[in-house]
Amino acid sequence: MTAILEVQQLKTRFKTDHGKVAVVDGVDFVIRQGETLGVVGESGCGKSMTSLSIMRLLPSNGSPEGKVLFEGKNLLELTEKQMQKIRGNEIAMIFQEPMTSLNPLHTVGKQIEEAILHHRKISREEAKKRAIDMLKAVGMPRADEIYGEYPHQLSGGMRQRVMIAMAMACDPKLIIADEPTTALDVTIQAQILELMQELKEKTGTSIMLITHDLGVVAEMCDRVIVMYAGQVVEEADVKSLFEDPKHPYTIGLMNSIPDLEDEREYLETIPGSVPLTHQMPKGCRFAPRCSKAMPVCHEHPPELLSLDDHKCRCWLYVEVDE
Amino acid sequence: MEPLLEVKGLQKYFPIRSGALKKTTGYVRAVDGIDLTVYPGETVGIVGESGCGKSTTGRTILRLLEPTAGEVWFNGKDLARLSKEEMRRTRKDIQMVFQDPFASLNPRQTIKQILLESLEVHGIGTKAERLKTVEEIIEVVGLQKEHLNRHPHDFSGGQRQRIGIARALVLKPKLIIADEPVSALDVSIQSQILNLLKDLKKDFNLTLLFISHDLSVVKHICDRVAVMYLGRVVEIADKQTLFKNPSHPYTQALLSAVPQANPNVKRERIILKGDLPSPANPPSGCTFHPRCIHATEECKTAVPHLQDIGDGQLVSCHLLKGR
Repeated sequence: MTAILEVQQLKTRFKTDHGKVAVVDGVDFVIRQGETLGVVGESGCGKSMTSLSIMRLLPSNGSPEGKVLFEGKNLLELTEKQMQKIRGNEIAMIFQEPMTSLNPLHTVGKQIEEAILHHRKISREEAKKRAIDMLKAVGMPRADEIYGEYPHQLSGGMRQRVMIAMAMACDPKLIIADEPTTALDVTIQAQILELMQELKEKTGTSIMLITHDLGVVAEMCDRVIVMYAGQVVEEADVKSLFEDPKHPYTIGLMNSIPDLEDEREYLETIPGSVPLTHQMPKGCRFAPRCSKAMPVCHEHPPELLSLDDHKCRCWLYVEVDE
Repeated sequence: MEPLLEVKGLQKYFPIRSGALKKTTGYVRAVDGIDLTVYPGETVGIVGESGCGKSTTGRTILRLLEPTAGEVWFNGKDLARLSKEEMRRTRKDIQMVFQDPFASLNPRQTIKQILLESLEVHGIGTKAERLKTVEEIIEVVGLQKEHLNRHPHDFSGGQRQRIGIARALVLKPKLIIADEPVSALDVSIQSQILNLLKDLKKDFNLTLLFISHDLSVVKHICDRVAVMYLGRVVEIADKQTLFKNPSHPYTQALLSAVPQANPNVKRERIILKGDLPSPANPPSGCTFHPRCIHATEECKTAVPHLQDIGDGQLVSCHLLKGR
């Protein structure tokens, strides 16, 4: 399979009161054609900032370095004008809160149409037809009427369907979905996840799915990267990751979630909390919270190692030469 | 055993006012006739999706919202009929833990002031005794005495929720109502708080009414669980029964919708059609019928009531009649 997106040594820094801090610090990953890559981590791990760096949508005090190769082009070197041709056309984005990403003053139909007209040389009528077709494709009942409705007239699940319709409208090669179901109830989440699976199978789009929910990852993704404090700490295909997690953080994360099959009296916890971006530990960033930390962990940052079917950033898996 | 809390036919309707004269043109039936019993020492969970009335139920029990109708028996008194002053005094025995630890602590007070305030309001102990209680309680929730002089902004979300729990505990209440206490927290922190609550349950013999949308969390912490849909309880049973043998079609759909963190498990999923109907204009008969795959003619007209289908499992569904 060919790689559609290749992120190499992405480093995104923000100017803050504490000087320049790196919220994404040397991230590498690849998304292949037709693949769903999960990006997991807790608040502040840099997963959203990674996606905004790829799309060049960072707040003005943030600047990305490194390479983001989309079909061989480095997105970080494109002009804003070239970038606009890619956003929403070849790479589309779905955000967590559909209410804040839709314009409340325009009908949802017009908003989908606008995206199409921006990227395609077609007439208004054709664009309207396409917009209605997209609304039908995402399972909207009464698509013709919904076309003329405003975002506030729709429920959360319907709004997220509109966002997906808009994202799919120009047949993008890659969709970046940032917590697309986090704001939704479980039964609606189930509807949206099913829809995304269906559309992916139909169109062969690649998806980068950012989430904190390991359940969603297990269900949707082919491969997964786990992020902690701005770095990738583990990468594996979804089965290996859940069957044999390697990094102590991944293991801790998995053991700390209660699940429906679970009969444990106590959950495992990860003590402490995520380090602040301007006070990163000198060695491994997870070391202060890690139960397996060794002296070396506090001194030297580990590299992202390639193990059989895994990549893992941890000193435990380094063979020491004696 | 005598129940600690007995809710009977609790209703909370919010009027919809429209027009220039703000005439009441209808009601949002947020809570529409709930019966619920909580025994001392047990943790009862209320689960449901947004808008099902679970939070309103919690607030109405504590009379942070005035009930429209119904009785709330606590300690031999009907809370719904108490005067404001009597209710204020009774709140010493029922405390609440809120969802958002950022919004529920006064940013201008120190932790010590926050914790002392409820003791002062209820006039408990001398100044020295109050301080001693506060110093004890802060350690119970896993923080240190040194933390008492700091302000809420010095703490992380998990620590703030510990403070919220300390504030509820400081009065040694008989009942704690926890409304989505771990929803705003990251999973690694969520597990710390859940474990803390489990410890407190044991050490203080706490009775807990645990309101949450997260079925896995509810399963982890509760002894009995009530499932709410559109202002009503559709199923209530002890945890083991409910999760092994969910009997209401809504409970079944809800359980099947939870994504499992195991790529090898492929469960039969019941995908519900459509959205939650508006509680201002609920469907006739069984309010779940428009989304239910088993709905019959009877479901469209007759309102089902909770009935015991064995082992104390109460289900409100016409399909289970005569079982």
